[in-house]
Amino acid sequence: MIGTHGPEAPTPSTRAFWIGMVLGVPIIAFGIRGAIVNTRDARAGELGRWLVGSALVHDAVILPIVLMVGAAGRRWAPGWAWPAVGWGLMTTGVVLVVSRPFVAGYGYNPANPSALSRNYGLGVGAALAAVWTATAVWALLTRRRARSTA
Amino acid sequence: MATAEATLGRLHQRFTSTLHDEAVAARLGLALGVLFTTCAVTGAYSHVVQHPIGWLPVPTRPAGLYRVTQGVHVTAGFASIPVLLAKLWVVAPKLLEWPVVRDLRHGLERVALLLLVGGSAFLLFSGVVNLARWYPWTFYFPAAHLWAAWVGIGAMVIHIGAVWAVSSSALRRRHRLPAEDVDHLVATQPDRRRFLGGVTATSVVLVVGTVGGTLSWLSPLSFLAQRRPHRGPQGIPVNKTARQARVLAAAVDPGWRLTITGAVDRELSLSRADLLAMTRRAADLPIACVEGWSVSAHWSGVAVRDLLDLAGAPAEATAVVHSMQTSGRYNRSELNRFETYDRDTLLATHVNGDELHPDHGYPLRLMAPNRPGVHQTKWIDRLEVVA
Repeated sequence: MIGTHGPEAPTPSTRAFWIGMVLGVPIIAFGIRGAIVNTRDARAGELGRWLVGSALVHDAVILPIVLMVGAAGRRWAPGWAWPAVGWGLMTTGVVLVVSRPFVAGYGYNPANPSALSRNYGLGVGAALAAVWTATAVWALLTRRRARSTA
Repeated sequence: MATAEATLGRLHQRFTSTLHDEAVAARLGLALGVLFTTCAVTGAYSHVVQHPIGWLPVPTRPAGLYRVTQGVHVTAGFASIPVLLAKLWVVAPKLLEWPVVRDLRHGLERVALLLLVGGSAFLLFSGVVNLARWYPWTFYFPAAHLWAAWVGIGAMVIHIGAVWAVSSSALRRRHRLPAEDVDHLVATQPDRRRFLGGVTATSVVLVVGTVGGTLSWLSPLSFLAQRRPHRGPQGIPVNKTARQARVLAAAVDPGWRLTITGAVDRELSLSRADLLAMTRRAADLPIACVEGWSVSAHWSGVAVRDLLDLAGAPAEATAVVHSMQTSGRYNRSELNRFETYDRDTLLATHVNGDELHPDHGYPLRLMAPNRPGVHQTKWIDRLEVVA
């Protein structure tokens, strides 16, 4: 299990860590300095809030939802179907989140119809139909294999 | 404190999947390292061509280089979204470690992790919504994306150092472990392979969903592409229309002239008829947008080199083209000495044999090899020569 510190765990290398610090800290400092010097464009304060906020939104919102959906799915789906259904749920979640601004048309401007010119809702629906077809085929193949080896 | 420790401990025990494992984390980490490095290198290149550095002029060949690098940048970014989420899920038990900070090194590692997770999530989120042309912030996207990338790269370097020994041992550990641990590894290997294969498949779904912006034959499958390759005036997409740029009246004014000024022997003022009477040059060149889509067309007009020669400009001269667009960051662009020398650097009047549509820059637009679309300046009325 990750995050356990048993006697068998390999010892982290102190040298590699400090080499990483010596190389990495100046790069981070360069980035922070760049955001501050160019704050008229980069809005250093707002950007900082976005950076830290993105990590917090992942850890406090996205990850718990993923863990809860995973736990529920695992309880609900038969054992042979779970790997496929788990994949279907993961892919559906990723596609729905990534496609959200496209489907909602947040950036669409009718003055320039060549940009964002697709029917994104239809496309996402078709993609998810393909994902769940693949999920069903995968699950059925797993079941057949399980039965033939039983 | 004891309660917090006990709660975290109980939560920790609920991570029962064998996938919360160093070997899985190391493989996903390696994949992310490759994808993020690809994004960093192509992103740095994109920055240099979009914000030219005087002492580092970018060559004009290969003509389609930027279309490839920027297509790769966007594709690698989309591909890394499922990998990042999977990696963070695999290492989720670490989030519940107690104490939160064990010692100085552990504290520094966790600060770097905050910047790495926040930086990665922000870079991917901002890249995706930039493609969706949605800007829920007040900063200028390229500047914020660039400086956040430096912070993320630095944090990634620290993280690689911190996990170096553990990950490299996890990647090869089968040879080193006692026999019973090897048995456990072998027994759970199908789970790990399936999981890593599934993450790859999800990445493929997103890549196919977007890559049609660059590879037009995949466009029918690209359900998230910002463009259709031939949707737009004259079958070419448009980033900003003449009306949006508030230049329509000036663009169609019959009194329009191109002036050539600056470090020349004789300043020139040419009408459209004068330009059409000059030696015609043509080239197949892509419009390659920083947002990852690109479309090739056959452009024809007058070579910048011929105009510079006509005005008596020095052979090594550089130039600035000025648009009639009065506002906006991209109403002028610089041509370096490679670009002014290259005969495929055109002030184009026609595309695919037809007079330019106003949305494509009528009466005159720049089309040069290996340039980002925002620097293929439209509605030009002045060419300023710099010695």
